[in-house]
Amino acid sequence: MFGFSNPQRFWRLSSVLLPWVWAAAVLLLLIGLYWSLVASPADYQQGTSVRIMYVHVPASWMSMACYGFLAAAGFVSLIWRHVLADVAAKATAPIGATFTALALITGSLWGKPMWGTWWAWDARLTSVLVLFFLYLGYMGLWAAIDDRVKAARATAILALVGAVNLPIIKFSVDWWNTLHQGSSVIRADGPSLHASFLYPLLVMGLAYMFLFSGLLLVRMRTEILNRRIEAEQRRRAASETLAPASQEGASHG
Amino acid sequence: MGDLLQFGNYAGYIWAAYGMSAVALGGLAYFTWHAYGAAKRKARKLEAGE
Repeated sequence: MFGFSNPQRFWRLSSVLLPWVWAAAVLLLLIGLYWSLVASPADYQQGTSVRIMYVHVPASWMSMACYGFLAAAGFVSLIWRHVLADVAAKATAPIGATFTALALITGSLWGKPMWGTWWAWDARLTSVLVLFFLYLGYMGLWAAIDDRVKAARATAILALVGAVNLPIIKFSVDWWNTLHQGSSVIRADGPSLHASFLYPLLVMGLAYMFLFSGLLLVRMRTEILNRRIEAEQRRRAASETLAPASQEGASHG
Repeated sequence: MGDLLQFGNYAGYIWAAYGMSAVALGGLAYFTWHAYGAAKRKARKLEAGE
């Protein structure tokens, strides 16, 4: 598996994957949007507001999946010092933060008509807000430390410590009495949603997953390019400072 | 397509949720590709010795 952690191999592989991943993301998004906005029925209790679920739930799934990926990449970076793991973790954070912000905003937009409030300090909502702050803290830490090696280690530790929040988010609706409803898709006894709601939701979830993959690949390629540019600029600057010195040495000799 | 506008009292909330999702994810995709393009141009310039 670590064979793929070679940046050059990753570059070649991602070149092949990129168009397919983006094509799948766009296609699934189009199908998912049509299904969720037009073809799916209204709920007998929630009415048409159930359609917010098709953007809210996938964003929530991705917010947690991104953080899981971030923590896993942090772990690999910390233990095996793989450069590509740092690159992947750094590239994931803004995407995860965006999904988390969307989960909070769309949840709020659903909560107002259904619960009668934009926000409640219940365990699920609060733990997702903590996740959002973890993403912000992670990105802030990367930006605050100039030394890339030190930044990678510090952020990896933060990512691993923050991973404790993931089971809290998932099981918050079981452990505490929350305003947020319990799980209806990822359950031990199978989804409790009717197929007419479940399938468009799964298509949107898949679309978000491909969108994340596409964004991640492009962001990782950008980071690799920027590191190469930086290394090349440093090499040139060093050779420029060495060149006059060697000429000087030659003239003295 | 007429169904698109028949969201009753929830239309504002639904369109706000989908609109914000589109703006946030579309914006992220735009800036991601923009940064990638800029990095590629810079690398090409460096390779050309500029």
